[in-house]
Amino acid sequence: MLARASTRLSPALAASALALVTATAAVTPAALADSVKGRASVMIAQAIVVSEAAPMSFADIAPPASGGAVVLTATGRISSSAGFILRGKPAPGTFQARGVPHHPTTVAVTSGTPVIGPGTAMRLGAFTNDAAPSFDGAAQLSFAVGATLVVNPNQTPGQYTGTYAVTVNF
Amino acid sequence: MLTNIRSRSLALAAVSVAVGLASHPALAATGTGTATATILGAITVTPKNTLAFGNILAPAGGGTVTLSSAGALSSSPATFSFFGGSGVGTFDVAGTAGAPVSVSFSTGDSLTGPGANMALGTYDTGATVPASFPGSGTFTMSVGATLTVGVNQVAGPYSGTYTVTVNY
Repeated sequence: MLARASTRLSPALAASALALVTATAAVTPAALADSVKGRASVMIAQAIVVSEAAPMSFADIAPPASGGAVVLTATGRISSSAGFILRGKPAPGTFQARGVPHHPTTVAVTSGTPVIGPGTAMRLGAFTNDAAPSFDGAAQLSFAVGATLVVNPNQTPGQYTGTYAVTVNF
Repeated sequence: MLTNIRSRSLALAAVSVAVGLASHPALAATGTGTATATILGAITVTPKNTLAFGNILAPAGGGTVTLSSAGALSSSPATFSFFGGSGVGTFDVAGTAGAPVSVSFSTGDSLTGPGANMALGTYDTGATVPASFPGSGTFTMSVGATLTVGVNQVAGPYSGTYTVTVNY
């Protein structure tokens, strides 16, 4: 007896033979995520503020009739051209400024009103200062200012006062 | 005559046996199925640089200052002055190569200091977060943000924290 041979594969067998099965994680467990804290910061600055701490003083000067120049350094050392007698306690002008911590700064000094009193006005110029190149960690800057006072011939004795301008910038 | 009949019978028998052996292999077929799975490892995030807005001179009316993920500072209104010291926040992120990356941030953060609190938000990672972990499994993310400065904000240093979450 001859058997009939079926040459067709069953559909179910064919499907599973050709399929690829892949499995991926559809939902990430919370345990795989990571959360960390980052830091943020800002330094709110104010406009620079500068104020005089002590006025510049040439103290007492007995000039020669020919007049001359008196030089006061930022460290308070006083000297002059020939013929002057210098007495008392001269002092440089001192200032306090507030800016931004550690930030670079420039200091500029310029003439203000002349040094006026009973006699002819005297000129104040050739300013010097010993300011540091930047504000300190507390945003502070302290510095001293020196200058040269030009005394006129036969300068009338008495009290003289003038001003000068100090500019502190970033 | 006898001889002939015998031959024919033998031939018939041989054919039927051959048919019986061939029928079962033709019904069956085998193929190979493949199964794959990707095991994802835990993500780690390491904070590196502080998100710093630097030294800022604010107008009396306040406003907002924005530090972009590329480190550019801008403000609204434009009358703020910037004196350096700024830098984006950075984080080193490690995970499984090829897996997708999802980043989210905290809300309601603020910087505290000598004056009123200043709101910190609108975090910006720009193009520094890839769609998926690279082959090395690590990347560095840069973060910018927006700071809201108040009216007559008291001068001085302010600081605070924010939270970044990285998931697959």
